[in-house]
Amino acid sequence: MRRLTLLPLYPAALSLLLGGCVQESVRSVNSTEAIQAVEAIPEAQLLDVGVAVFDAGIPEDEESWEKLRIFPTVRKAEARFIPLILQDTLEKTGQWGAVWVVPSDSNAVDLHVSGKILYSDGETLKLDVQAVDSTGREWLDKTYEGVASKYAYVEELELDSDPFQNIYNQIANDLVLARQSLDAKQLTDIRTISELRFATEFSPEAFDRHLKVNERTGEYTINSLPAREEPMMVRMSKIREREYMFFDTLDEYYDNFERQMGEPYMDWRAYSYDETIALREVKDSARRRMLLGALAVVGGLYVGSQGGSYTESVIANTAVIGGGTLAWSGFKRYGESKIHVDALRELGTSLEAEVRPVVVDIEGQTVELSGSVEAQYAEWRRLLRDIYELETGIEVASDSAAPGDGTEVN
Amino acid sequence: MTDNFTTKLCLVLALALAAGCASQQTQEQEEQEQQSSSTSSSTSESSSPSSGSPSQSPSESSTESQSQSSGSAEQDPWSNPPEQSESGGESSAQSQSSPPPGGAPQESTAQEQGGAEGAEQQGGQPPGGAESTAQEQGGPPPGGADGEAEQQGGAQSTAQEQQGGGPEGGAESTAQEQGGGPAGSGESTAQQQGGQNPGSTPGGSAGSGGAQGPAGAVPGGNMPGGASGAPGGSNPVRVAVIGSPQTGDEQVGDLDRVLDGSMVIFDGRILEEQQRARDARRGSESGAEGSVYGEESEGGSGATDVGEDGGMGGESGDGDSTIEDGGPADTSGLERPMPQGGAGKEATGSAPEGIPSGDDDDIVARQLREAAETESDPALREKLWEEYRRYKEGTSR
Repeated sequence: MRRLTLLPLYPAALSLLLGGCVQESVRSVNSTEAIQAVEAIPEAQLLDVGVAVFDAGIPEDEESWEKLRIFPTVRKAEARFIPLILQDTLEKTGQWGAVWVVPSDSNAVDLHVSGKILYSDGETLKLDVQAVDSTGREWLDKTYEGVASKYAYVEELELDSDPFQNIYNQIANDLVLARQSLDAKQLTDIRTISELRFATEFSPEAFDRHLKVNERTGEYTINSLPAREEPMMVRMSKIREREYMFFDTLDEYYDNFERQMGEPYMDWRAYSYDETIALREVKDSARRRMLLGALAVVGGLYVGSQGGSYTESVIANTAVIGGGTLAWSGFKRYGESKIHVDALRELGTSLEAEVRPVVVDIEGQTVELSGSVEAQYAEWRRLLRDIYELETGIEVASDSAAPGDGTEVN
Repeated sequence: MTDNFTTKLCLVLALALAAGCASQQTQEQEEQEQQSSSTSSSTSESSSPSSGSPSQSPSESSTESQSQSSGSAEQDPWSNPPEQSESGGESSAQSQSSPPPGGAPQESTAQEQGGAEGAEQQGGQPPGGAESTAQEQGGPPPGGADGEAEQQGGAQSTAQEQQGGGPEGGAESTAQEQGGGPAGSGESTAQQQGGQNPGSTPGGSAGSGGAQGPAGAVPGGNMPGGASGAPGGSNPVRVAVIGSPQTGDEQVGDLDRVLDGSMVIFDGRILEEQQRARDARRGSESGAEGSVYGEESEGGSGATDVGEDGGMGGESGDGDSTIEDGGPADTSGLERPMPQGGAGKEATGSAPEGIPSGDDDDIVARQLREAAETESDPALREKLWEEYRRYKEGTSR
């Protein structure tokens, strides 16, 4: 009997329990610091890094875009914007040689970083990042997730770092740790192999004998070394410098892109952050109300069915009526969440319209420049082939100068 | 008997008449010689009725050539006396003995007068080119030739001059550049090489297939597989090795210079592109409020409009529009040769002291020279002039 008397109190106690248990996550602004170089890294071990434009992670199924709140143009913009932040982070650490954002794989860099956007809004960023050096050794293949602090968007604080700087710092630190696991010779070899791979790309007939590639692992090793002062090597150095100039030019493009993209993108992130938080709170609240309401109704019905005293009957009726009202308010809250969903959609659409010309510009510029440069490279490849034929007396098949991997396979 | 007498009388009369006619003809000839002692009558002019433009008077062809081809004026064959004297008589005999159809006689005349470099660079010259040669015989073009050519399609003839004569301008010229010149190109080269370098067996045979290729162009060279001409005509700048020395080392040196030259041009384009991007940034930073993107596209200074401005990546633009726009660089970007003749570019400065004359420039030298003349950045301009000077020194050795 005593147990039955206490029964009606259970929903109320549960309600208090759940009501007081508000989800709270600790958010910190950039708690992870990037590891800075404390001493000069020897030139022979200073690696050049190329950060590729990320995979935007847009699903092929267009119907899922709405559900996942993916705005394709915004994603494409982010696929370029995020590598720029990572480039900036890596440069500031002083741990690396030159760091460029490159449109595609390039043999001119020692370490190649690529990635995919798994999720992105103002509150959460989730990335899949890989890093592979010129020998084909994998440095990194990891998923990073970060949650922005609301203070990241407070203008008065004038935080000059990205709301997800933590992620970039973590990536930079992981790369440093991976590099630290290599000895000096391995680092020097990485540089040498990138030189040879670049040279092989331009003049396979002259350089492919210097590299070996492991058929199983795909990793490159040095077979032999050409003399640094060998004329063909000198020519390759000159062309490689041109590749760097090409990257520098891309940098100029990306600088403009970042500047144009930055402000509207940050605004979108800030508004998106607020709306995302609000949406989640509304949904959580609605869920709690419905759950508690349902429990109260069930509890009330149970107590009422036991046929107790008048007081117990009143309490049971009150619990049923109160629970029903609570559940109904939960449903109404769910309705409110639609407002925030619409707001997020509006924000995304607006940003899409704003950044579309910028994305089109940067895509067009990089494609055009890359195309022009590649055409010039094709010309140089033919010229180098002629020179090689003259120097060695060996006639080269005309298609062997095409970019490809003529490296010896073992 | 009477018949015999009559026959003899007729014979005597006929002989008397013939003698009288002969003496009169001799007198007329003497008079003509006296009257026209100062009149020039070159072989080409006398053969002009059989040329491709029989209806045009010399003055007409002169005017047309000025309007069609500023490049021809720039590459005046007369300005190169040694080559002219070297090939003159021999080629003249060729053209008189076996005149090719259409414009070919004029083409071979151009070879006679222009020498190896001019003939090979011009390759399959259209009839207009031959006309311009006739004009050049009469003297240098007037000073306004360039401007006129610019308005009336000078760009086309400029491209023709450089790449082997695509009368349609950019696209066709590029095709010729990659695939070798048209039929006329091979023909004229074969004639020239036959005349000047009888011993150039592999080169000569390759030249007929791809007149601009280095294998075919280097007469009697020891390049392995020289007769193959595999890369023939694939690289416009390789024309520079035409007439290069015989040894392999020297040929490599020539190709190295071509490579270096194209790198300098590449540098110029890249730096221009960077500058353009910086200008675009500055422009939009100091621009009006509102959409920076709109400003960018309207301003035309952004790298977005590279194609229209004649920058690096203007693959979609056509050559004519670039030249009309007067952009700082060729629309075709790196993969295409720069327009010749200066029609599309405003020269930003004349050659500094110590820079050799550009009269006998080959294509690479001309590209370097034009790049230097049109470069707005003083530091880069100086670098380009320096490269031009070095290149000229290298080729004159």
